[in-house]
Amino acid sequence: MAIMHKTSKLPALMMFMLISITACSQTIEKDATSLAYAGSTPCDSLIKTWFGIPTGPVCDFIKWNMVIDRNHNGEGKFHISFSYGASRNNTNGFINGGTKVEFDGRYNTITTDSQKKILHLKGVGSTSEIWLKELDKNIFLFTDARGNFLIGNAGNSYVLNRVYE
Amino acid sequence: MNKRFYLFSVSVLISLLCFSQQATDQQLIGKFFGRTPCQELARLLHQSTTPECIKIKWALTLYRSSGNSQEGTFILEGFTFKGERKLTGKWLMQKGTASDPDAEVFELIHNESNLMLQKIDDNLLYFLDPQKNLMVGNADFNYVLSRG
Repeated sequence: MAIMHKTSKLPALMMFMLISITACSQTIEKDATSLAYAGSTPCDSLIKTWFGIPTGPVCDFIKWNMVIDRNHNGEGKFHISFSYGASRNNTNGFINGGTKVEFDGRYNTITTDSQKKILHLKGVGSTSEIWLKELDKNIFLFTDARGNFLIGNAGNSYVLNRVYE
Repeated sequence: MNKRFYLFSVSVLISLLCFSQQATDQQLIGKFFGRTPCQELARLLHQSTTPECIKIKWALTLYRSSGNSQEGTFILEGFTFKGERKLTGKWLMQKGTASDPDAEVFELIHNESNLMLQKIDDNLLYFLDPQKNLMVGNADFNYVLSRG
């Protein structure tokens, strides 16, 4: 009788665990928030190398848009689109609209000694990758693979700013 | 004649000594450049502007007082502060921002309103708002000054 009682509880226990796991995973998905960032950076040799931008044509600056899913486990998906080219005088745009690049990928989070978070973003099916150091919830600065900040110029800096739709 | 020459030599020597003393009193930290959005900093500095103003080009020169890394002087150029109206004054090193209690902050003393810039590293400075939050730029401009 005691054995019967135990076995009859097993399916209910399994069902409870299944529901708990499902609910938990739904909570994580629900907690993921899509945040949008934008910015204009220089277009120097390091960035060109990272994204295979040809060295020949004029590249005065790069204009970025990034949407990233932030969640508690520090991993997730992102989408980046950027344009580059020769700047059109007296505007914030490019001659002929510039060249547009888009890619999707996943990121993971690295915590540095100073407790700052660096997001390592890698494109899916490409070699493109970037490192972004989070200064606060609104600001990312580009770093190299070793966590050193990239230095801008008088015109642009390596910053992505949170944008609110 | 000899006496005049002697007096002249002494005065030149004193001038040179004074000059070198001034030079050693203030050591150059660096010159920093950048373009920020216009309206927010214009408001912060109590400067009138037009709605068409979308950016400000800045050049900031920082000096530290000899033997003291916690204070010094600055020259800020840009916006309405050009030519003879360059903004000059003293800065003090403060600690902590809204998001980082250990951050180093240059506080530029200004009559109207002090300006605060977080030292990100030796090459980058970041404008803070009066509540010590990092100011948020847009798709075209940001609030970073980079070492020139």
